[in-house]
Amino acid sequence: MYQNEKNRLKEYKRSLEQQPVPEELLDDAILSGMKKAQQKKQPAFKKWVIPLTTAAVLVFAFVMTVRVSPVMAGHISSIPGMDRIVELIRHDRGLQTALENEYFEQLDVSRSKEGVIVTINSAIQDEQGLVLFYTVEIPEPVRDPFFSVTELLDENGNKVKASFSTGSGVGDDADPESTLHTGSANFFFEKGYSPGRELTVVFGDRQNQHVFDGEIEIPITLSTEKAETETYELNKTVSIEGQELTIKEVNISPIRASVELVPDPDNEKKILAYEAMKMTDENGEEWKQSTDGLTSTGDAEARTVYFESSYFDMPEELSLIIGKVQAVDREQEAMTVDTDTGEVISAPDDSGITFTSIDRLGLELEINRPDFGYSLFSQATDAEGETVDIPSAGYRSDEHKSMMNFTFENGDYVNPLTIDFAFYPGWIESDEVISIYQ
Amino acid sequence: MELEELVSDAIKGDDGAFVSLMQACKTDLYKTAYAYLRNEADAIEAVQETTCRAYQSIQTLQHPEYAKTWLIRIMINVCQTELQKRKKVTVHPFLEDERSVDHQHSTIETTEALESLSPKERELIHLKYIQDLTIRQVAEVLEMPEGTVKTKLYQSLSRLKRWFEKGDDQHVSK
Repeated sequence: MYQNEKNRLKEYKRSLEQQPVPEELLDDAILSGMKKAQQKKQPAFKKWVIPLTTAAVLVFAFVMTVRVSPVMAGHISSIPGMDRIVELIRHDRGLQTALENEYFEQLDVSRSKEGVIVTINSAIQDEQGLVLFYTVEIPEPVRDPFFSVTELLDENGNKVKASFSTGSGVGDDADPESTLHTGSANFFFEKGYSPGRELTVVFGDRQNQHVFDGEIEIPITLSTEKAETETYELNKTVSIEGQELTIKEVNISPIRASVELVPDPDNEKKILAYEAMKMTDENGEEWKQSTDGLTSTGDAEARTVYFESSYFDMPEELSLIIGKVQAVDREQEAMTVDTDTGEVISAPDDSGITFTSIDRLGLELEINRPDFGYSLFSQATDAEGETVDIPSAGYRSDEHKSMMNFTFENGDYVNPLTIDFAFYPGWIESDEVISIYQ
Repeated sequence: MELEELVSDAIKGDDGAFVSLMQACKTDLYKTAYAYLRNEADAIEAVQETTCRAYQSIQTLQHPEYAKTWLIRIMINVCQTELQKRKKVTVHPFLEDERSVDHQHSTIETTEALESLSPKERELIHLKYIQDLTIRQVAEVLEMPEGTVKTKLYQSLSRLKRWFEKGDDQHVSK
């Protein structure tokens, strides 16, 4: 079939092959192209793999400039490798106190493949989730290492129903010459769900650096003991610059505290993210909202926001302050682009977002404020209603602006694309103090 | 050095390996650029731009075994962006006279026919018939099922066929 067309293409190919190749000019072009890229490079984009579940919300991790390592009780700090784990959770007061209270289990299970040794060192589990600490030893250093947990399987080999975030590469691990990497994986279980005690942790090479092929599976057995979650039902509604928000429930367990929030569906603005919620006690002590990895789950209709836990330090009185909230007018909750023509068909007027590149493979944009480390988009919809995933995004910032790029999973879509904002550089704010208990 | 070895070194940040990789693929990249842009200067510039983009994103390369095809796809994208820019400033670059010279017909007509395809269709035809990838390879780099690749290839060929038929009609009626 189509022999004539195939023949024409063959002939066309032959004519292309006869075309002389300006070898030296091409070598020059390669060198100057590389130089151009090196000049452009500035600080590299920090890469994030966006989980496919759109319910999971990721925030780009900021590189912290102030580093204060907590001092651990004698017994804990004498456990080999614990110093690295402590370093890893230095932003999380709740996990630190869990370790101080010896609320964790030592596992030390290793598996190796092609010279790569992965060890699950320890775990913290409770009714709301599971945190695993692991180390990866590789034979040779690689650039931008990102070995991480890719899956958690239950005793029947089924994927555990949980959102999770995982990360490594802090402190000494950020050294490009390092061959030992410490990381953690943080699982979030829905209320009432338990994955059981016999689990298999699956490790992959998330950046596809081919340090090892395929996956490494590590079986672990957890203890039967789990601390009981403290639950406070609130059902209180607050008004944030005219937008109504109901705080349904607060759950506090050793790993984290979680707050369930439901905005009024008739609000004029769509609430996208809670940036700086905090819990305070009678003395002004604060427990912060999680700012790294998975910070909340759910969607615009109902969201669960996570906090560092006060479980081992429960004060006499505990209150909640909503603070700054990202919100976008409902009429402008999505934007439309045509990636064939590079045209922005519709976008919010005064968002401060400028597109620097639009093509079929992805988008690049700038936001007119520094340190906006929130991945604006996670998914698009094409002209035929098909979902186009955005599996990865990059982010960097200088002192004036934030820059992001987004890559579409599949180029096989029909323009125009409609892209919902997952985050948005526009805010409303409330400093009302809401009592959780007295 | 084997291409795959070059690729994995380049991914790890070895600039020398990256340059060698680009040099190993430069002929195919140039010819792809020439097929789309049809002049040497623009094609060379496209090689430069492709090198720049490839250098910036080589760490994200998912399948090192398809590094060359990955580069070709970046090139196609660079060219399509360039053609899009051109569309805004120039009219059709071919003169009517050129079409009437019989023995040149085929190549020029094929070029025009290819330009009548959507960017996606043209990429598919380019990978299959100009780069000579197998259906399976095309399926893997474009991340679609082989059946879909076949269907879309036939759709593209059928569109080319219609274009040739229509083109011939116009020619005869002149």
